Amino acid sequence: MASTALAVGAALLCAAGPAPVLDAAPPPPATANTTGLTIASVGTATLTVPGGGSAPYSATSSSTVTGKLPATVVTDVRPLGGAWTVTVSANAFKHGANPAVTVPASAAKLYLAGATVAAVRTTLLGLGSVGATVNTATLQSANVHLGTPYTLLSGTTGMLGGTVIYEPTMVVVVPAATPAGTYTAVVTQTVS
Amino acid sequence: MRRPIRRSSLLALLAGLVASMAVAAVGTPTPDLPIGLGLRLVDVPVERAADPRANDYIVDHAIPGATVRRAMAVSNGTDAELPVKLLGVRATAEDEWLVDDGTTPPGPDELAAWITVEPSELLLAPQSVAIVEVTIVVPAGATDGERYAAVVAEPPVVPAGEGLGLISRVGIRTYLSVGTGGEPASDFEIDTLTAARDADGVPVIAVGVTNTGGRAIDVSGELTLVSEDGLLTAGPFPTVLPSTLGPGNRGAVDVRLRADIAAGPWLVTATLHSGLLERVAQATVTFPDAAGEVADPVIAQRIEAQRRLLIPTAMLLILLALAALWYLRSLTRGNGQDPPETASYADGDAIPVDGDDVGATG
Repeated sequence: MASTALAVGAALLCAAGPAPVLDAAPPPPATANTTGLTIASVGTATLTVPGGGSAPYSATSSSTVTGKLPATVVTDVRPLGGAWTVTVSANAFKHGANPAVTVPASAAKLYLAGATVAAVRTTLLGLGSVGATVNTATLQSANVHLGTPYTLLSGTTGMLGGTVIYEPTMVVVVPAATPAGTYTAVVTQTVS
Repeated sequence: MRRPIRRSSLLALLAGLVASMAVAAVGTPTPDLPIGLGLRLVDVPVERAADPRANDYIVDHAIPGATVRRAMAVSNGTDAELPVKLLGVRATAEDEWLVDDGTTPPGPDELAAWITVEPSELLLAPQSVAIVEVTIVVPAGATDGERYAAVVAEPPVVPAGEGLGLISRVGIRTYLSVGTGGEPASDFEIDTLTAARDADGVPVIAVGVTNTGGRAIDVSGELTLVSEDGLLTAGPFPTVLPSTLGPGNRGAVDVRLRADIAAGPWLVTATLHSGLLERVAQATVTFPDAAGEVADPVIAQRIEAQRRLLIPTAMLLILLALAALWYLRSLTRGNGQDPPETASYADGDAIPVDGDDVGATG
């Protein structure tokens, strides 16, 4: 009910003002089968500790946990094939039993090794350029972490469309004196 | 109203009730969708139709109080129903394009806060496409300037629950200029060309670009190389990736050349564009010898795009016209006044034929 009332209110507001409306051409039917940018992730993320088991608790030294994020497929079939970038960030790792206990997202980093990025041309003609570039200089910087959004990779697929597949590696440096337990975090990646 | 109520209308009423209670999957079944969640701008303003950027992104200029509308197509290229949220999120375009994860809500003066998508949530049927309407309401008191946001389609976290989850979103970039006057002009300068060799020894040129206009740009293009003596040419080599630069910002677009390109010196012509805007500049560079080495940046000289093509073309046309005129004049002179000149041709058999022709016409 509340949402209906809100919608009505908004409609009235729009109707009352003489403000201009910059409306683009009417949309073609929904059956048009071209899509723009597409993203898909296949599989699940895994985080492991060297030697297996949990990250060892230490009051004095940090420990490193590494993992793989699912392989992600970006397909660009926009007619003019402009630029796209994948921005990544994460929220803090929250303790399962006590969400107030966290490992900050700044302790984690996602990166792509050269071999984990593959570009595929989806059309038969194979003309033009399809590519994705990983900004390794940025990724090696200590200031780059999942606490603030950063560019994981950028791509351009040219006029004929194409697909880029990548498989990010995650590294978490668990700070010293982090309480034992299972931690949960969500990584957000946006292709745009 | 008449009684009894017709069964079909009763059924429709029931169906409507059921639909409002349990969310039914929507979307037009569409074959050959790329895998995953997709988003596409469906409509482009007529006056921006020729601009490649306006076809991929929302690019517009609006006065305070105005409303901007666009339609987008959301696609589900998976074999399962996909719940999708649609929303505006914050983005920045200083020396690169960055999208916020949406954990910090946008402030009232931020573009992301002005964006609504109708519907804001939908359950997409497998292998289908749905059209959504994006509305950007610019507040009447909005200050002038360009703002950035992304309209994103967001699926649920995978996997839900414990451990490391992943949200893979797709977004349409939104570049909205706000101001009471006309749209600020877009412009950029090619400042420098910097020759270098990457870690593998492949020659690379970094083209330094400054955004001198009032709107963000997405720059890409190509380079061509001509040796100093003009005998060797190489290219065109495309820029590796387009680069997004906000107004007043400086950045570089890299071009990777072929490993077998000589050290030079080379006269390099850089042709870069953002949307319909094109800038051309030249500089002479020499590649360093060692891998990983970077030469000093060379200031680039701007070349007017039209001159680059028009002058050589015009010169060629004039030369051709002069040559044709001279040839025609020599022909008429040869036919009318000086027949013995044809005898100077080396081929003895051809002369009598020519002579017969001349005789027949004359």
